[in-house]
Amino acid sequence: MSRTLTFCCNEAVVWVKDAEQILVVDTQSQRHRALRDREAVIWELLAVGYPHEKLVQMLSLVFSLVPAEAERVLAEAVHRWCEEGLVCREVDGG
Amino acid sequence: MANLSVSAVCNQACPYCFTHDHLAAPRADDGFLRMEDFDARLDFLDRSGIDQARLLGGEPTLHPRFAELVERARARGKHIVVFTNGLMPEAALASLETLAPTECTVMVNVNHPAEAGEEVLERQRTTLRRLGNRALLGFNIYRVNFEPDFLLTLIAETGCRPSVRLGLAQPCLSGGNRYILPHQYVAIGERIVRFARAAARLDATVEFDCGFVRCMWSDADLRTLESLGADIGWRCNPILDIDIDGGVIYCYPLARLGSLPLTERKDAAGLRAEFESLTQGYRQAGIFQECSTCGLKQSGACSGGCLATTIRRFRHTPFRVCMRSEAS
Repeated sequence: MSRTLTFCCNEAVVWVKDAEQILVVDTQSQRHRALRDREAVIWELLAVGYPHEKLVQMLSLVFSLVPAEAERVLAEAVHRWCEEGLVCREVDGG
Repeated sequence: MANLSVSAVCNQACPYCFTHDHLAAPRADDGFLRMEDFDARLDFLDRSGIDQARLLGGEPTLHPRFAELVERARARGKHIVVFTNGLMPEAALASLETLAPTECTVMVNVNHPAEAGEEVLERQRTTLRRLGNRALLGFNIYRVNFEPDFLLTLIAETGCRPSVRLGLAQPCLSGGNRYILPHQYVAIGERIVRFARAAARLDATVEFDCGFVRCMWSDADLRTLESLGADIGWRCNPILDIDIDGGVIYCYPLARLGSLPLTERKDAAGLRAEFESLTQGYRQAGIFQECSTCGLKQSGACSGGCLATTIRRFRHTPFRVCMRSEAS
């Protein structure tokens, strides 16, 4: 059985796109994290606001992955950022 | 170093004014520092080991008891530094004239005559003449095609100190003032080199305020500036501007970051450390995309430019994504 999890950007988090990385800063704690390579691409596509299906499709194309693998890469990144406080889980769906 | 604001009132409206965010809000008080609070500020300087009383505003000389502020600071042995537009009341000017040049530095900030107008410039000339080598010219660059040569004429006409302190107009966090954009820095750097050469021909030097970056000049131009005696700090640190209500801010452009209360136990080093901690995440970046991975910034040889400009590069994006998950 599957369910839907919704993740959103932490309200205190701001970011900037630099030459070789995306720098993400928690304005409350001033903790910062540099996102590079795949993580940077995923963050930027998330910031555009694409829905999940479109994200998977684009990541599949950009990284030359089959959709299932692209979905796994996306989920891994989002869960990691959730643990780090960059994004937060918003609502559980059925 | 720390600056003491003694006046929230100003008699000019410079388009680049860094205090835009800070002084625009309506106040319940009269806009001038109370004398007993000034004594508390001097206590703060004493316990911080700071031997300068740096007075600014608004226009600090509009304080109705400015002469007494100067006297009290001198009584504590402080070197007086005044940041002024030069349009000061007679009593304030007269009080500064009583000080020896070794006891004070009056930074007279001027704008180009085409913007300021001849009447304003004439009053500034008078101030500069009367203060002589107590006074130093300050000039804020807020557009690419700035024309600074009139500053050299002013030095020759008035006998003020043969030096010009250049500042780059930086944005308040609101962006409500006029300011320089990072992509304009290189063109401005070229004009500064030309101006420094012209100044050197008249035995005048150029000094630099905060926020300048290495990459706005070529190595050859940097060597030229150094040979002309330019001392560029490449710095962007918490200046500590202390407001008349006792709040301490990082600096005027960063006023919207918030203020820290000035308590009897706090000193400048502690406050500076607090501000460093509150901004260390932003500090990883700089004004350009290349700053965060630039060797000069990583080695501390360059600050990466003004923190206000850097922070304005950041954005919050309220993205949301729904993902399927296998439930247990």
